Amino acid sequence: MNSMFELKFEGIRRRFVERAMDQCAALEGFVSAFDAGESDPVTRREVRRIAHSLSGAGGTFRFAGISSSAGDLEDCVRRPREPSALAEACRALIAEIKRAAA
Amino acid sequence: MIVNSTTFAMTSEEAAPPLNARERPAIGIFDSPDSDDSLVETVSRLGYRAVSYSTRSGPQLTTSPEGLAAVLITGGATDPLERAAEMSAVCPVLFIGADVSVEARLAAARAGVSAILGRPLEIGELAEWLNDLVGSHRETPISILIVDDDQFLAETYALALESAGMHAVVESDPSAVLGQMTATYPDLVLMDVAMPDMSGIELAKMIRQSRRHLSLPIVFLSAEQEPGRQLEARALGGDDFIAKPIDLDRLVALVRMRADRAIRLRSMMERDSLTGLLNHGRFTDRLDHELERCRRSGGEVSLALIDVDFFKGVNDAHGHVRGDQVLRTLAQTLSGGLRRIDIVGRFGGEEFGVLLLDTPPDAACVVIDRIRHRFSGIEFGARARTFCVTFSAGVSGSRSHQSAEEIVSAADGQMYRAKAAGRNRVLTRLSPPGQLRNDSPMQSAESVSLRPMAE
Repeated sequence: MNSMFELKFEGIRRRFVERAMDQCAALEGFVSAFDAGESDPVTRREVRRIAHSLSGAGGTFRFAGISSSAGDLEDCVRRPREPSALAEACRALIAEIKRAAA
Repeated sequence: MIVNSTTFAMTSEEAAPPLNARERPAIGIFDSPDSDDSLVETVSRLGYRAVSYSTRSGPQLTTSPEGLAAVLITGGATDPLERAAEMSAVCPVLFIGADVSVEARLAAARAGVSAILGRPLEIGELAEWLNDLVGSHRETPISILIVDDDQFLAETYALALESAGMHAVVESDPSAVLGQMTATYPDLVLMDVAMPDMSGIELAKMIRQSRRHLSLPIVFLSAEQEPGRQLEARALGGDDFIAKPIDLDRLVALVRMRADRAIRLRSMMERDSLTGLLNHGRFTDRLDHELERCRRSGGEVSLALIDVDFFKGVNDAHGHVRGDQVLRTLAQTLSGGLRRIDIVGRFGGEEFGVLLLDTPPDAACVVIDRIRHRFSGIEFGARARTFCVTFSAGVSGSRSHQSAEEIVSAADGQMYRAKAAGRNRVLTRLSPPGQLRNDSPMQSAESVSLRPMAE
């Protein structure tokens, strides 16, 4: 890929990171709920939606860590896991997003 | 006859500017410094831009040779084989010479020559070679429709494909995809499986409901890891599956491979094997599509039906091989003399159809007449058996005829009028009697079209 591609790609990648930071803020809210032992279907559905989006896009934007932990979270939320397990998977993804944004 | 040229707001020149010379593929010509430029004229008649390098002081490459689509070198040119060796690194080289011995062919092959044409030069053969070697210039870039509700991903895929020379259109709203397909005619659809409101699999099913899109490749993009779901996606109309996250280099390679194959297959299904033009069915599809577009946008298209004069006579007098050559040369002259956006098809037998977009009939007449004039000057055959061929054409416009049936019937009527008026002319309903287009109205068409020409 040429330098014009790289220039434009960087622009989209930056916007992806900004959006990931917004998703990160939402995830942090869900972590508090999971820590409090709550995991209602609406919350789980929203977490799954965010995880699916990040898992599909992260690697394309050269953030393999985001794709991989988002994939784990998606897998986790699909199964009947304890809220504490969900909280842990969320935290791993949050850490990856923050690393990408740093 | 109704003569009402005030109906049209645009003048002929505004509506149908001559094909931009820069748009036509350039053919470099290295001929003898003493040549009479007949080769330059012949190449121009075939619809190419002829660039002559036949100067006495040797070739002066003032035009960048990188811009040339092919070169013609004659045995009379200065240092022809050296020139061939030089130019074959840049583009295909055609060699024209009286010596077609094995030794001469070997020397030419070593100099990188693609084809040798003997003397006297047969224009039909030259047209076919140029068409084969340069024909691909008319191919538009591979067109990809990207459907992904993630705007950033869709933009990134588009960026990667565009960087690889493809044309990409992004559609983030699945419900708008069917409309988008009619507008853009994609060669391949790249589609996310998981989208809100409508899944990619449902959308693929809807695309496959249309006969026209049965062979269109659909490549799914998905973060879906379950093999069962991937199989379901394939069973329901998907051709391939790329797992997210997508590696962009792999995406580009796979899309190009799939699209290339689909374009080749479609071309076999949609094109006439003799001339390479759209076949009757596909041309009619495009006509329907363009008329519908005009109804929506208020634009105007013109249809020209073209019929070779006394074609049966050509076949009888010169054989079917020559007859086929005439049809292929006409196909090439038409394609070369029109804009890229115009649509050319073989209607059947010796009849051709041309759809000129955004052009009123009077302007279309000017364009088709220019091609008529150019084509009628091409000499076919060889030695004492050379002959010229003419065509008659009728033109009709979408403002007066809204359905495909009406516009075809009107153009057909004008074409028969042109035949009855003596052939070798282009007529439309707007042509006043005094302005029938013919270079030699006093001469019978038969003598014009089949008269043997002295060399």
